[in-house]
Amino acid sequence: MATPALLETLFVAIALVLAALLAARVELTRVRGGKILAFVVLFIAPVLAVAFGYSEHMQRAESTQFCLSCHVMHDFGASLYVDDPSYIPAKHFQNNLVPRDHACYTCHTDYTMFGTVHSKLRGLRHVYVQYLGKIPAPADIKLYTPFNNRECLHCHAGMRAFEEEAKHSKTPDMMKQIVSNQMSCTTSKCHDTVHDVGTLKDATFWKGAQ
Amino acid sequence: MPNETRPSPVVPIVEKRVRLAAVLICLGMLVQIITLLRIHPLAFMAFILIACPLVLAGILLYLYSIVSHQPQTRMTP
Repeated sequence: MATPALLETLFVAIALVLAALLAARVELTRVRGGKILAFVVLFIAPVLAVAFGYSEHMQRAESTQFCLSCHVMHDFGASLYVDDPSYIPAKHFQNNLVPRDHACYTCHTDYTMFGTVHSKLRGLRHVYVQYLGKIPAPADIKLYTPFNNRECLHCHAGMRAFEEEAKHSKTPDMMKQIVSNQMSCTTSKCHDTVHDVGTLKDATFWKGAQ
Repeated sequence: MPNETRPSPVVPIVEKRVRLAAVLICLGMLVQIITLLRIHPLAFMAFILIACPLVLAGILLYLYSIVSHQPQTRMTP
């Protein structure tokens, strides 16, 4: 089945061939039909090709495969397969609580108006560090800012299992603190086992969905 | 036999620019196709830093060539 990426590649290939034809036979532009062809091939088609390419690359940048293609991210990818539900990313990944092909992006984007833009800028910073900066050891990689509950609540807010969980209502204002990010989900000794790549050497791994 | 020299075909400047624009766009699209073969940050960077500028330069050169072209018009009294 033709995927959008395949169709886009086909479109760019056809535009490329036509542009090459025009480069080789530029005298075609002396006649009216040639001028129209030149306008289509040298203006409309390239604009569309770049727009399609930009959209495709932006979508690809959200994929798990893209994030894990850097060697330093290998252990973080492996942590998704830890056979221990206390590892929050592993529990979400293995139970399809996040789409597996967009697992990293689903939790690490900002669910704000310009969250996607911020995510892409952070991604560019990662690329800079990967190729031009000093790459830290996987265990030394930290978030730039503490994980915001907003990202968890994007899915969990309104969820019955979350709302009715007794541990979330230990104190009368606990839920209010969670929602306002005053009490962090991941650093309040509740869901604090996240990727923990330093402990992976002793972990066992789920063999499914490999 | 008279010493005749065949005039060399002169390519109008507008056609030279259009040809150069087509070549730039070809190169840009070629790089774009290559970047679409892999899902990798380097492919993304090559698209942003090489393919897009080449295609953009080609488009701008083409537009410049058509707006700067002054067709020869016969002046009538």
